[in-house]
Amino acid sequence: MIARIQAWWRMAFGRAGAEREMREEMAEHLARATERLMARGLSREDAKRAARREFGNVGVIQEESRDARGGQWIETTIRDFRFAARGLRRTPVFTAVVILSLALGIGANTAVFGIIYSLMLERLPIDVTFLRTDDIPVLVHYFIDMYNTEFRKRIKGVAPDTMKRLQGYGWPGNIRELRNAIERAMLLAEGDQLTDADFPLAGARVRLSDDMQLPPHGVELDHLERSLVVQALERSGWNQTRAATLLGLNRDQIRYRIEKFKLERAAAHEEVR
Amino acid sequence: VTPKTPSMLSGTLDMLVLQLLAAEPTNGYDLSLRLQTISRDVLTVNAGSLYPALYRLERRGLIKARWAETENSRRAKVYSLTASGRQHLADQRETWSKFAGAIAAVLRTT
Repeated sequence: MIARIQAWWRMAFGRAGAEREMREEMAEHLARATERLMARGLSREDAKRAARREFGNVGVIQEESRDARGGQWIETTIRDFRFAARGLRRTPVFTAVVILSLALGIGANTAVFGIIYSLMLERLPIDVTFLRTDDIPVLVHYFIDMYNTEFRKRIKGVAPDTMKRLQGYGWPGNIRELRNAIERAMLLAEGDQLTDADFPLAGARVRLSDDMQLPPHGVELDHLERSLVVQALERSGWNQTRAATLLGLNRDQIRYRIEKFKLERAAAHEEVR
Repeated sequence: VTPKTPSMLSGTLDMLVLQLLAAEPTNGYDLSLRLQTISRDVLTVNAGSLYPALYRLERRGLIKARWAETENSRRAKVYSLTASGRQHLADQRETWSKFAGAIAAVLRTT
């Protein structure tokens, strides 16, 4: 293990040393082979030549040894970078043009994506149209069918509570936001029904009361109040006490509102007490 | 030197080198001589395969090298086995004897 680490260390940092050692080792081999042949009576020159022949092609062997020693890629990569840098420095105009076009390309790309993103993906800053609360279930089911096909899923629908929440949410980003929310939910969904957990966006919004949701375009509270009082009176046949109960008010409060809105019992509604 | 070398089975050289270094740590040159002598000149290992083999074994951590002075005061890189090299050699020997035994058994059949 330690030997392995040492070898690795040498491989990574001791390149020059390892190279020198290899040359020295092989030179030593040749020297000793030469001596041995000289001892047999060959001349120095002949012995040297014979030793070399016996050893083989030194360059090739060193190359193979380098490969065997490993870690060549470090050296090769560095050399490639140096070579590239030299080449670029030699042709400054070409280099400038390349860098410039890359910069422009990246810049243009970013800019265009920025525009596309804000136009098509993000919610629009102005609300052009509104989703009607009643339309939302229809649209939700339409998108679920669509993404069922696209994602090969079998989502059956939306949990009732969640649907209410979706209807209560104003969808300032309009149908696109609704579609994106459904798409995301479909991808996240694990069961066969979409639940609150699948709609992080809608869930994070402030919720209105569960049974009455503020329409996306808001209401005129005065007008709404008048309308509710009228409805309550009509349903109760102008029995003020019963109408007050329907609205959670007492008789004085409903009387005050009848005066405030100047309500009068229409002739058509006259009934026998 | 008679270069009448039967082509070595791959991996055999590594095993032989380990075996010789297990007997005695030595340098590349003496290793090549010893290999030749012990095999009665049947195996001639040229430097072209010996040195890459040594470096390969060193990289795998099976042998380690250090520089030492030889008797005639020359520097030589002396290789010796590491613990894992010893283990590897034992495994290799076992595999080899199984293999050689199997071949011999097949050759004996008439």
